[in-house]
Amino acid sequence: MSTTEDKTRKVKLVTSDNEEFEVDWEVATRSVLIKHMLEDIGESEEQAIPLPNVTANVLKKVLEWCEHHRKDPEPAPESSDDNRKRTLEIGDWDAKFIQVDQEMLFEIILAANYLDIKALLDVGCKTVANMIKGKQPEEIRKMFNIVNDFTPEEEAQIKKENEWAEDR
Amino acid sequence: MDAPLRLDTIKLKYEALEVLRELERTADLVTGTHPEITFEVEDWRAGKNYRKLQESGGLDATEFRQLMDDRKRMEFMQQILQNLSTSASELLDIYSHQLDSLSMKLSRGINSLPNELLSHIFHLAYHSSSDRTLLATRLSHVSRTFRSIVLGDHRFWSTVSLYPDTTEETLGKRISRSGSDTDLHVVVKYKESISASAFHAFVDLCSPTAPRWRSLSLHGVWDTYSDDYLERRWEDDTAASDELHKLMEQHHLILPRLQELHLSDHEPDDVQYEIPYWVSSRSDFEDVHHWVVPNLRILRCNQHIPPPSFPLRTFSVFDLHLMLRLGDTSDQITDLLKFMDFQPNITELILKLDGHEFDIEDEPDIGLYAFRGITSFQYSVSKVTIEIARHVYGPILDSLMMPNLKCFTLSVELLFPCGTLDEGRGVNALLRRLLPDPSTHLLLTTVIINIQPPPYKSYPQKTHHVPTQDHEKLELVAIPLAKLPHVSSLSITTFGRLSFRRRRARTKLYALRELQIRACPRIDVDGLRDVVQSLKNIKAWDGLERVVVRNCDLLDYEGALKVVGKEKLCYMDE
Repeated sequence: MSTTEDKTRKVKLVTSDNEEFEVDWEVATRSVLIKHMLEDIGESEEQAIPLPNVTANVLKKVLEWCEHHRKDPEPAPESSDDNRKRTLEIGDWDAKFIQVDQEMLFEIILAANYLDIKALLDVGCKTVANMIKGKQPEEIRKMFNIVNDFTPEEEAQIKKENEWAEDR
Repeated sequence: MDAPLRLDTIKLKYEALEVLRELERTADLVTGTHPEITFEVEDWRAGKNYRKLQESGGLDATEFRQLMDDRKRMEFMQQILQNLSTSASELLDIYSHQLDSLSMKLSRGINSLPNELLSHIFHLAYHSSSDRTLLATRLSHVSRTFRSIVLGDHRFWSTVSLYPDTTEETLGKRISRSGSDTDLHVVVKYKESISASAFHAFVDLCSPTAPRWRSLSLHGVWDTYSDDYLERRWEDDTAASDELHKLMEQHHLILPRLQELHLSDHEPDDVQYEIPYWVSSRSDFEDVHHWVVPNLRILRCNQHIPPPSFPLRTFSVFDLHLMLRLGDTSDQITDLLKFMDFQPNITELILKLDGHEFDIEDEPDIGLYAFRGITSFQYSVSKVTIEIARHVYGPILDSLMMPNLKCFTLSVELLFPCGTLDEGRGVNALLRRLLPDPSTHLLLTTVIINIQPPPYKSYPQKTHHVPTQDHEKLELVAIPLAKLPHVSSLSITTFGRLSFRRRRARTKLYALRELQIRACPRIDVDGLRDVVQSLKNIKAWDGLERVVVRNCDLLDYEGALKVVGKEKLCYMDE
């Protein structure tokens, strides 16, 4: 539970490229990682939280999401994972937010995973899942610049063993 | 004549380019995040002049001329800066276009994600896919990394389907990929081309895995235009329950994990807009040694209603999607009521009714049935007009007496935008017909109402739509609170405006304590004020403890606070 004092508190975050961000406690604690780190260091306002796995341009984007969702209720417990998986729908604001180039999209996913922001991780992963759905393997490779690392023999074998799936 | 002018332009451009060069030099100094640089009026020479002359008191003619000259210069500078900005945008567009594809090639992109995240993404795609096995198969063909993730996780192979071309070998492979303990979702699509022997051979092969079955789906896939269809269905009266009956006769199964049974006589994504011929299931399950399904929780039916003798009675949720067919409506609803009459175990009813052609004069002739077990009822009706609500969907609702009903959800999809327009009445007339009778539903305390225009019609966007008075009248959803006297929590989603009404002016105490206005894209501050005023008019405002405003595009927190007040408002924007 956050107190009124918490809500007025500022938190300093330092990125891997040494940029410092000062944000509201309520915004920063959308990240479970930061929340736990703040609990560990206690009341010290001066101490900055180092985020060695996030660069400034990515953190800026992540904080934009946290700011918009600062009032959202606490994420549901793990048991509701099944419900989250059933739909790939993304809210209007989130859909606009995640309209970024692929490099940034994957950086956001990695940052959300590292910072433990489940809802943002879902937005990123659902976006990629939507890109994958309904595509042929070759289209997926092309879209994400993935090298086909099967040998021709392996590829022939794989195709043969799975013909049933494509042909019906 | 133009030569000197051209020379001046070239010279001026050369001078103006100095500005650009200075900007480029300034930008060179910036690393990392762009600092916010703002300018004041006094930063401009003209701004300084203006302040100076203003402080000196009155203006003489020379000073006035000087200000006019400054103004012209400012306009010219503004024009240059605008052109500079346009040019910068053009260059940025070129960069975006060229560099994004290059950076994707240089960056690791999706390859930078660890396997656990790739697996999470694949699961998201898998769970929302209509053909899960096909998706898993395609993913396994992309690369070695993808293949190892997909083949290494049995859950990607947990759907086992029987299709006309399924061979024993491929079926065995599919089952083996699912491991030895993963839950299985068994899907049988039966139609003319699957022989009875293939069908039972499939079950023979799968039955050793029966303890792992989590769901079972029997889908009748019928080509409603073919002669075979009519012939087979006329002669055999084959419906999903009849197939289930045959299965039970030949295979006695114990399914400890089975939670969901799906019986369908219509392909949900069938592109043909033909409502299949209605076949009542005639199988008598009394004579079969039925399956053991201690954990069956949900029975989902699509264009199919099992017979009253349906033997599996551990489920509590009955979810039915029924397309009402012209001339068959009475039979369909009677089948439904008779089936439910033998299922006292049902506590949650989800009924989705659809249809595109009704004989309004031919009101369904149905009796009154009491369902004492039902505590939650979701009633979804599509392609609704006032007449259809009055003659079809209303009477169906009336036939369902649920004295222990606590939660009622009504979803209405209108046939026309702005309501039905028949007899000049709007959507407000619908609700009186589509809410349960309060005199027989005394325990009903929670009601959720969702009214939407048809999805296939283009509907004016809120930013472009200027509603006429007539439109506003038609789109006004008037909640007849007298029909909800015991309801303490009411949630409303509507495309139009909202108000509360009472037909007679007598004072009445309402139980309403919480009102939720959810995802109403046309309700603004004025609309919310109308809602509050209408509640005050019928004396329901004072008893209200909480007004939840949730995801309404035109209502910000300050606006809602001004109208509702701090004490009662709960504002949520997701």
